[in-house]
Amino acid sequence: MMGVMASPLEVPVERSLPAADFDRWMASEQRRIFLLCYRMLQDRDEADTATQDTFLKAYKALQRPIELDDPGKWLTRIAVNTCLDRLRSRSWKFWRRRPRQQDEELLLVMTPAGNPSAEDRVFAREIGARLAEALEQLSPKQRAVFMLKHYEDRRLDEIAEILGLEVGTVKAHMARAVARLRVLLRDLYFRHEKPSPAGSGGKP
Amino acid sequence: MRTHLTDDDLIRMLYGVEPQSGHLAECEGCRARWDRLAVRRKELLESRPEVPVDLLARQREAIRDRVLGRSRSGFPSRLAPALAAVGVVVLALVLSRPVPEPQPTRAANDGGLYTEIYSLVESPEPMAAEPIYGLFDNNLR
Repeated sequence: MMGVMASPLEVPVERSLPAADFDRWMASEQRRIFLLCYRMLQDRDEADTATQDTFLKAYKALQRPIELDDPGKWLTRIAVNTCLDRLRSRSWKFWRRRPRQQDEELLLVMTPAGNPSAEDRVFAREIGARLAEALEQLSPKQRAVFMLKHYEDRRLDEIAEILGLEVGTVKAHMARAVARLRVLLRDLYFRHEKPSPAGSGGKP
Repeated sequence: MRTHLTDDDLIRMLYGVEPQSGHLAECEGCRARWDRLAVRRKELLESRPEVPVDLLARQREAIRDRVLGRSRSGFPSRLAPALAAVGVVVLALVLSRPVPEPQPTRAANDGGLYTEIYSLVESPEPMAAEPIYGLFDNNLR
């Protein structure tokens, strides 16, 4: 029997998943998966297609008896692999356009909700845009590793499981990603702070 | 000399690149910075980026259509640039082919046709009888 941990999905092993249950599960996971695809691909249309592909693959897989410990992690794995495939095939798409105005607007909407101050909201937008731009400079694997940690707060061993990599490899990807994004991350975490006693770079 | 943790050290620890330093237990200042970093991290994770509701609704409908095997559009728009590129290449190939010189085949054919008609008209016997005569000639030989 499939366990229910992160996502409200129960699939009896002896029969396929009823469409209504799938629909409910999809609605609960859709936003997270779309954001993950959007952050990986940095393109609204591509993220839309990748999200659809992810759920379609999941639905097909769930038509057979299947045992899953963590459906959310399993779905994340499908989504990340779908995005990595699209990033690989994108490399020869010479006609790929720059992000459209529509995409930039979406990015602006994706600022923290709640009741942040106007300054925080502007800062969140600015840092979000800078982070999105910086993610483009990472390799697809580095991007996937960093995103799963930064946005989903997954442990390195979980990330390794999702990506089918060794933990050491994940750590190496993470180290490179953090090194590339260090200025941005410092702004993100230490914006309101005075310079550290040791400075921001090397040790004293 | 006492070595404090830098911002970069703390970030590397936060992202699991380095294990948590024992220095945190000894240095109050660094521990306070680490705690503030953890609070900031929690705020970031709890912030919920908005996604337009209509986008999600349209997407769900599209997924349902695909699950049920319905097609919204017979022509996937993302293939349009590829097909347009193929069209341009084919057109370029067609236009770059050397045009052959026109041959006076029509005149020659017309001439042959007139000669054949003339010989038919002038012949004392219909052409259909010739194979029959040929048959007798072969037998005589």
